[in-house]
Amino acid sequence: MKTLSGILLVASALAIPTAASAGSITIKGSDTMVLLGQRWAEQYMAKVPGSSLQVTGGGSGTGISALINGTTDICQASRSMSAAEKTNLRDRYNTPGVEIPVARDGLSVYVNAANPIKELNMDQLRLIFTGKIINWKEVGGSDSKIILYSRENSSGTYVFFKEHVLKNADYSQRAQSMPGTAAVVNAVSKEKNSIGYGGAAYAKGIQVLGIKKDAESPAVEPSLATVQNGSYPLSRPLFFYLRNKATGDIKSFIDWVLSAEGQEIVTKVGYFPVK
Amino acid sequence: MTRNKAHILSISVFLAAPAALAQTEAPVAADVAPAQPAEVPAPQAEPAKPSAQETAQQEKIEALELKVAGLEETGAASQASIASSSKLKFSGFVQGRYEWHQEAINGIDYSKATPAVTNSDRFLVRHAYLTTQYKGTNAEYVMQLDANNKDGLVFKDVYAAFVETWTPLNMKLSVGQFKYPFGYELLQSDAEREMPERANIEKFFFDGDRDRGVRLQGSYDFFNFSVALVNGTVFDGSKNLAANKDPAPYGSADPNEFKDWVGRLGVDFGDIVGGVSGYYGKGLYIKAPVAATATTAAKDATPDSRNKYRLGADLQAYIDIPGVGGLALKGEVIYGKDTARQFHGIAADPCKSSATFGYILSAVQNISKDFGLVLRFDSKDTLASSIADGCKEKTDADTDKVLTLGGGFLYYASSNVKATFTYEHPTEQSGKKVDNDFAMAQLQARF
Repeated sequence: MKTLSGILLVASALAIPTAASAGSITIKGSDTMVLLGQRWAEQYMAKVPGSSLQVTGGGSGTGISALINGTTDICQASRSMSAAEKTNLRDRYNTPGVEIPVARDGLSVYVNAANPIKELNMDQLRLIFTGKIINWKEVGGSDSKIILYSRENSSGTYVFFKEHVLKNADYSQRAQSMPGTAAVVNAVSKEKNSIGYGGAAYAKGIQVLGIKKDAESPAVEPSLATVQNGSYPLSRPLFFYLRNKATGDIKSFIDWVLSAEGQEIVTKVGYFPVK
Repeated sequence: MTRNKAHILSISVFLAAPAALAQTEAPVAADVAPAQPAEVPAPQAEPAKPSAQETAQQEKIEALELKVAGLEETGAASQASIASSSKLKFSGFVQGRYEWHQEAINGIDYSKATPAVTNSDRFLVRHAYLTTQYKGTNAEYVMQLDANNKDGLVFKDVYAAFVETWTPLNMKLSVGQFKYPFGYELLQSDAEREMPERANIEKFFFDGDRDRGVRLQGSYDFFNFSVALVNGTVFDGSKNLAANKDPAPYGSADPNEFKDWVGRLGVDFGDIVGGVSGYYGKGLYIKAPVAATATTAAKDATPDSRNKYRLGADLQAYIDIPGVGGLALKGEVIYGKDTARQFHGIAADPCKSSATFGYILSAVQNISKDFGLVLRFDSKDTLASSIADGCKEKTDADTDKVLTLGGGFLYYASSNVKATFTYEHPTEQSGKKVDNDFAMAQLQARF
């Protein structure tokens, strides 16, 4: 009995810091979605006095880890959780987690505005980003070495591009990792012979390529129609992930994100509504 | 890399500035010079020879450009090195524990005429694992060390794997040492399992958890499979022989002459997970020698040979209880049969044939994200009907059923620290009943 009392005392002492952490809703994850998340948070906090939301990036992988580790309430992800991540979440919390599509993106391929190339097919993209094609002349461009800009491996965009374009092959060792989509866009806008990829919302000051499913298919550019009907080959959903079904303040926020008002912000930021 | 380049370009501009300044100043100097007569045709303009200073600046710029190119190469190499390092992962955990046993192997010394309590509570280190894992292109390397084993530093999971990426089956072929792909609890990590030890039926059939062999795993949509061909008989032949103090208990026979098959076919729907498992093999067993006690005589190591079958089924359901947390309900049944057989001159002994049945039922309820409750009920019973009449073991099998009810409290102090407090109460059938409850408090830290 004395031992049990001691154990309960230790447990109580360990539990104290947790109670103090209650408060604002934390949202962490995808760098692609960080701007969207911030706009949602700003608008929601203005609309609902007393609400508090904190939005940070770090990449989809970082956000999913934070969800599993219990250090964020909502994870923003630009890719689906992997089977291993789902298992880790389930092992820890005894729930399969909750996946909520909140917007759609047309993952865009950027080249410099001066680049004469206007479209590429999926196979060419794979060969370029795996380092098999290293000169623009091999895809009909000028005789110049291709400069590759990629993302860090914690990025959901990096993983989505690797899975869907590179067919899980490794990126070329010459691809330079950039800390965010904005950094990729900035680098591509300055480097004439470069190519990069990222969310549609960031495609400012550069040229977005049309993408062909294969050499014979017509090139398709990311737009509301092509992303929503799936004809754009690199369209993808953007997700919120939760540990448990949303309740209370988190449910109110997510309901608002999925409302017409929340989805209007999706369009304003440059992505596409989920419906 | 970009920053380095920007720095060098800044330096280049800085170094080039005096030259540019000199060029802008040149026309001013020309204004001061007397003008040439208009009628005199201007001499053919020759390219102005760069001054020594301009040449030096140009050389510096070219040198810097070469350095930039060199840094680009170095940067690419560094990035490749970082990318490679990011595929290497270290993980591990340590479990420090306090145990109290009402009666335990070390708790009561029955070799004394009057059994004496020797050590009913103690502190111990239960697990101390360090795992290194590398996931490269079509390859995976895993080496898990157990630093807290009675045999010293030993390997746990150690295998090389080939991972294919060109079919939708996500297949992985591993060669080395790994857990038997059977059931649910056996495959659950020691760090994840809510109760401190595996259930009796798991320890009975799969003592040691692991074997050496080749394993093929894969998944498609909600289906998954894992099948392995393993040694089956002895985990480490030489060590086993030494432990039995018999240099050649098998005679000239190869204990691993026959390999064993083991596998699991499963489905995973997210909130419902399940599978069926099977094991088939043949092998030699060495029953360890028994030392003499005050009431029993010593027994030598005795070899025997059996066919082995094990069948299992497992099901887990995960339910989100609003406002409370996740609830996991898990069930598993295992039936196994050993049939004595003649092997290399060792006669079949029907009394060594047996069948054993067991099950595990458990419930784990998360309370918010930091707390949890666990309840487990398990059974292990060697079936008397499986043993031939006239065998001494038959009588033992009538009274060997063990039911264990256990429960506990879990506290996740952070993502790295878990505290577990459990109590278990085993109930033996009549004739074998003993007071052997078990309480435990454990702190686990992992990274």
